[in-house]
Amino acid sequence: MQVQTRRFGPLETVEVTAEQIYEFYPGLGGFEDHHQFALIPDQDSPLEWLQSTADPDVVFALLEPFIFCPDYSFEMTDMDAAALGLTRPTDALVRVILTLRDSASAITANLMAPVVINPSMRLGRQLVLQETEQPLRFPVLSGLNAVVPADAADNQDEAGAQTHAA
Amino acid sequence: MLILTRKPEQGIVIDGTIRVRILAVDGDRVKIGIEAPGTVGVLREELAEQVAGANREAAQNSQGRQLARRLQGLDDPRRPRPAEGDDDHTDEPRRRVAR
Repeated sequence: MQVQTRRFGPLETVEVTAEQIYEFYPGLGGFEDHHQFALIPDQDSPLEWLQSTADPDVVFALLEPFIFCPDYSFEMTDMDAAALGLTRPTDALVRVILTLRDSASAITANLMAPVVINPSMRLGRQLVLQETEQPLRFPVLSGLNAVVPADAADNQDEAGAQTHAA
Repeated sequence: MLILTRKPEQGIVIDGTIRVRILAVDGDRVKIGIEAPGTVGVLREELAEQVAGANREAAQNSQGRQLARRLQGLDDPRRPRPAEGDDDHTDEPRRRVAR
């Protein structure tokens, strides 16, 4: 099916498959009327666009939080897991919503309210982590700078042992 | 706004499917129990407003192309799609989404 998006500003039409369409009940905070979203990968980066099928202007940039915050973790309630149709928490994909601010390097990620999706049932929801101190605006690039040097060292040691990880 | 007065243990039914019960009153704090279907979000008001505000900020995405460009060159942790050949990364994202 075709989805209209203004993710880059000008109106575009993108072709998506049924597997890319997710139902969000309840809708995202502030956007409670939007229940259907297309998950569109970006061509040039690990970003994914969460595009409302009802309005080209309602689109969010998502990123895997573990890239820039490797220790990110949270507990999912039974209710949320059941609502997402998850039999195992590891079936879920975790993403966080990014915001670009005034200064070009000031990308922040909402770690307090991650978006969790279940690809096999094509359901998603934004969880609000109420019991934790996760920030609403986590600076992504500083997180990346902290991660990358460590990764380079680890990869050299573990390259041999990791061949089974597909 | 519909205003009702309840005593502890009394409840309210919304739309036939959402139940709100006053569990206890202690000084200026009220303990409230809520039963609702999984498709209904229930949040403390101030949290709901914080998240809605952050989402609205994020949705103003006319700078999307800039955002994507800034993240170019990042290791892509997505599983390699068939066309990508061997795009293995040694660090699989760990999902400690504990239940």
